[in-house]
Amino acid sequence: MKVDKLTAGFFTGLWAAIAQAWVGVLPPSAFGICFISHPSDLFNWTVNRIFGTSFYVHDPSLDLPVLTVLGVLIGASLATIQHKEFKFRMPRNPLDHYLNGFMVAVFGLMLGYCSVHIIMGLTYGSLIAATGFAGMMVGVALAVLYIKWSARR
Amino acid sequence: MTLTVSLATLMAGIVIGYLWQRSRSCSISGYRDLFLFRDTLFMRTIIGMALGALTGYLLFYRFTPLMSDFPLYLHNEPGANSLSTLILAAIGGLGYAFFSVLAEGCSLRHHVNATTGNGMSIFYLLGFYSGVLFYWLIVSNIVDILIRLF
Repeated sequence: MKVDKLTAGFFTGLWAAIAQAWVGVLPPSAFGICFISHPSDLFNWTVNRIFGTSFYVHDPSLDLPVLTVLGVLIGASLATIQHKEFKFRMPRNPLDHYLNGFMVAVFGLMLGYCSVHIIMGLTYGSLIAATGFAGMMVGVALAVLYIKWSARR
Repeated sequence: MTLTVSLATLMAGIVIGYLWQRSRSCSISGYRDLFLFRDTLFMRTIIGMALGALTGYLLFYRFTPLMSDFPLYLHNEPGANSLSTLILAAIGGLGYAFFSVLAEGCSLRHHVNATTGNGMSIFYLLGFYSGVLFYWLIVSNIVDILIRLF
């Protein structure tokens, strides 16, 4: 079964509104889905419980963490198993990918939004999200220029 | 209430994970392909998210007090009047997008791809969670000092 990108996106966006309106995933507002803050909350909550540390978690994760990340891993695994698509592929430059992930987490936490969450923030009318989005567009443009420059070398 | 939040986010995450795996969606490749090839295929995910969120927010804000601050810029958004917060958001956005394009996908896409055995995404996630730890151990203290200074 193929799913259209528009449908997947629409459900994701709609969930962000439902999460706030019916489930109460706030504060902050427009926090229904984020792949920077939700993984950070789950990670920090777990570390705090195991090691007694006091790393920051958002209000909805104070007692029990938001489990969006775990859900996505389960849902994607179900789709992978159902369609027999699992195949381990070792990357050529694992350190590059490790560093990219590292930098994405650091800059994403500085921003407080991921590229999914920022769409929710923008549609919710957040000025911080709008500023972050402008920064993101500059970042994409710079990365595209870098890719073109690397290809020419 | 918190158990409800945990279970609801788990259930929604399962559906979103399934949908994103089957649709090969990504929230950063849309901009990259638009800038690089003028290709709009991946923009469908971003347009869908914007439409879904806007539909939901417009539908719900009249019926629930939990959305009384919609739209946020008209309701004294916390931190939005601080120049340092806005500068950090711009720098954060720039860095996030730059490295996401180099990583060939957003953080949600890499979580999904890791379940298919994609080694690139697995190493990305190892780096990602190391970055989370590094941020809260080191960078967050520097950010706090900068916000207090300006």
